[in-house]
Amino acid sequence: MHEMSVAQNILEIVREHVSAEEEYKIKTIRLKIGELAGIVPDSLLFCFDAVKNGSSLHNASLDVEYVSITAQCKHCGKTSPLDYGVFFCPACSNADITLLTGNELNIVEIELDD
Amino acid sequence: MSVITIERKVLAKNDEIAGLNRELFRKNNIFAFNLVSSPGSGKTSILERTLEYFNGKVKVAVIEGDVQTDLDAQRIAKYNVPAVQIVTRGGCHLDAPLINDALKNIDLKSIQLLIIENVGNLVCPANYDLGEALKIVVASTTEGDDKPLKYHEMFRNASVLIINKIDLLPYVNCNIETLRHNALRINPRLIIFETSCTTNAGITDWCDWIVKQIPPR
Repeated sequence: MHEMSVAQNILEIVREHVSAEEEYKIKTIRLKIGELAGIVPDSLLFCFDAVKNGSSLHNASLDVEYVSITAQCKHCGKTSPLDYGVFFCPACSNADITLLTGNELNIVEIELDD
Repeated sequence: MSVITIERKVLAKNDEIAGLNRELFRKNNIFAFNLVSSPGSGKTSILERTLEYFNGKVKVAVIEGDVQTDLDAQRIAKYNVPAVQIVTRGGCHLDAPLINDALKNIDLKSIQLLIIENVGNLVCPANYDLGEALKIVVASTTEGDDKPLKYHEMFRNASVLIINKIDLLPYVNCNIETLRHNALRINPRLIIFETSCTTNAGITDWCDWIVKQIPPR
C-alpha cells in the first residue's frame, strides 16, 4: 500500500528531467515494474491519477511494462523463469538462486508532445 | 513527439539517503538492523528482553516506527537507552529520509548498536532500504507456519528469522518444523533463532549473535 508515495516519487523524478514548460507537454511516462516490486499496478495507476490531477503533469499517463521473474541457479547454472512466489530452480529444485529480473521499479523514459 | 531517456529507479532517492545512513553507521562503527514483522509478533518484547540482557553493557539506541502513538518508545525508554519514536500517521513503512531525520536526535558516537523497529507490516517495509546492515524478520507461532510463503519478499530480503512465542507452540496451530522448512525454501541463507519473551528461551543465543555483529572500535 505504498503506491501513493511511489506515484509521488515518479512525479518528482520526472520533474528533475524536464523544464517547467515541458512538464505540461509530457504525454507518457514509461515504467518497468517487476512482479516482485511489491506494487499493485491498478493501485499505482489510481494513485498516479490522483497526484497528477491539478498539477503541471495532468496530461501525463503511465505506460507500464511488466517484468516477469527470472533467476539463475547457483547449483546447476541454468537460467529459468520462475512462477510468482516459487523460489527454487525449476530444473534441479535447488533453492540457492540469484534473481536476474523481477525486482524492477524503474522509470525508463518520458514522451513529450512537441 | 520527443523522448527523454531517464532510466532511473523510482526509489533512487530513498536508496541514495539509505547510502548516507549506511555511511554514518560505518564511520561510527555501528551495527544497525531493521526489525520487521506483522503487528503483534513481539518485536518490542524482543527488544525489551534484549535490552534487559545487555543491561547497559552494549550501548544501544532504538528508533521506533509506528502508525500512531509513542507507546513503544515509552516501553523502550524504561531501559535507559535513547529511543526516538517516528509516527508515520498512516504511512505503512519507514523510509530512509525518516531514519536520517531521526539520527539527528541520536549521539552516534556514543552507541554501538542501532535497532530500527519498523512499522508492523510484512509487505511494504520489504522494499525500503533504510541503510541497515540487515533486515531481521520476526514470525510468531500464533501467526501459523505459512507466513514465509505468503509474504515471501520479506523473508527473501531478510538475513535472520526470529521465531517468537515458542512457549505457545502446544496451544497454536503452528508446526515449527514446517515454518522453518517454508522459510528456508524461500531463503536458504536465513539464520534462525527461536525465542520466547515469556520464558526467555533463546534470548541468550540471539543476544550473543548480535554482540558478534558489532564492529570493533
